[in-house]
Amino acid sequence: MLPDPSRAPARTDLPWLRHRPVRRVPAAAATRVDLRHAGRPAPGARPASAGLDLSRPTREAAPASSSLDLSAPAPAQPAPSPSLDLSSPAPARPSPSLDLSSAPAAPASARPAPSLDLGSSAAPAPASLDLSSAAAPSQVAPARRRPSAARGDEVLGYAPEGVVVGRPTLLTRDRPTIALTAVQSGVGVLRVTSAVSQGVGDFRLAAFAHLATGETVLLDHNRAMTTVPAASRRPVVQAVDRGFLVDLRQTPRLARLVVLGFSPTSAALAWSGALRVETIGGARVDVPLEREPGAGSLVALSLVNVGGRLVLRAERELVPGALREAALAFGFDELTWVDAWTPLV
Amino acid sequence: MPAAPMKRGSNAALTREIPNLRGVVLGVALASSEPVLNDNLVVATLLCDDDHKVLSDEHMVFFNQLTEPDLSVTQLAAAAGGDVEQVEVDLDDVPAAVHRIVVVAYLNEGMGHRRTLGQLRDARIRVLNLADGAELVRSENLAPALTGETGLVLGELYRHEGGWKFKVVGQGYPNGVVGIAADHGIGL
Repeated sequence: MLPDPSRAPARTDLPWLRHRPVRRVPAAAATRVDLRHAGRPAPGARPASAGLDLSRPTREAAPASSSLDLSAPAPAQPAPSPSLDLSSPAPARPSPSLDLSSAPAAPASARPAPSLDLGSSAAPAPASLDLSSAAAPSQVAPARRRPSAARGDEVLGYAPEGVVVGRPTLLTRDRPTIALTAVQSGVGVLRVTSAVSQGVGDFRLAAFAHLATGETVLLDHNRAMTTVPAASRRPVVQAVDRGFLVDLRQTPRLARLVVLGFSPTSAALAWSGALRVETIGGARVDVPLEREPGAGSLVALSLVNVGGRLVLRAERELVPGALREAALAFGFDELTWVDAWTPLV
Repeated sequence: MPAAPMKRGSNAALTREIPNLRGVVLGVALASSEPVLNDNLVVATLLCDDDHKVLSDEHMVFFNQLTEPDLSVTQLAAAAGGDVEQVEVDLDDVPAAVHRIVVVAYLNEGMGHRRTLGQLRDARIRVLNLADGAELVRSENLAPALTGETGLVLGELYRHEGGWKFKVVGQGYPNGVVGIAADHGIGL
């Protein structure tokens, strides 16, 4: 049964989508773009005379015709805004049933350590809905699902900044997200490399990639899991020594990539260093690998394809346990695991 | 009747010859026997000012950005008629600030494939009438002049005396899309 939308909490993570720049679209052209791609044969091709021609339905006076008319009926009332309004239908009043300020999470004083970033649970009423603390036990911290993991973190909550070419951008706790332009997201290769000193310990880099086709793959260069799709002649992502290459010619095939550091021996690591993300034109983003020493997987970076733009986010999340726990915590549910470290290929 | 192939550097006064021309389709044909080369070929259309600079990064139309903010130039999701890519241009809707619409091809580099456009056996651009798909002009095959280039300016539409002309360019770039981007003010 679907929940009553009027009782839903106010969504503050959607305004970014709602407030994207609205392009000036002529009324007729807006319809034409979709239809011509779908229904009209490409120019130069022999026309299919019997086919339903949906091209340019409004350029000329529409004759009375028995053909299928897909034009919108004349509205009796002023037409609603063509833009998708994702604003919350709920009134601004807080819903007592969804008041998470007193969620049964461990109180701040009982939290084991600042190793897990649960700060938002104790912070006074953030505007964003954060369910993370509700299920987090105070002692043993198994993998927990992040609120947006099921949707692939596509909801950002605000408009991310862009990358300034010629000046490295550091993703910080205050500014964790940045977006490449569609050009930066589609030209050349995106190179992700780690810069980690030996003092960190037995550090290794891995990544989970999710393709638009639904395929999910673990990339681990040291174990010869080097391409997505696996054993492909045209890999979308390739694991190399100390990093990954994302073939931006294939950006439409990539849905999400999550990069993490871990110790294959489950040793505690003295986390420090950074991931460096570089475009072919030299635009650079640095993602810190810094946490307090501890065991587990440090999920450092997520890279999400949002309508052709790659959005980079510094996750800074230390997930206790093996790679399987990190995969589950970040919504990579499709993998089947041979053991806690090895997915079934 | 098929149009006679245009030589590199030649131009045609499209709207003077066809006064009621409202839109064109720019069709690009690229062919080689190298599958890796074919996989990594990209056609892009750059909407430039009079100084050959794009108005913004949103004015590069290619597979990852199929149209520009004013929707006057749109790359089709699928091409036919022997073209690998086709780009529709509504001439009347092109923003006044756009003086040149430049069509380029490049090899997407960085994955270590080491291919060049010199391996192409065919590289042509043609102009079709958007209204009926009739071919107006066609370039000569630009491939034989290519060697180690990884980027190529195929041709351009440009404003001239209130109308539009088309020119076959055929300029290669040894440094590929990076060089094209630098010359046209595109931020990579």
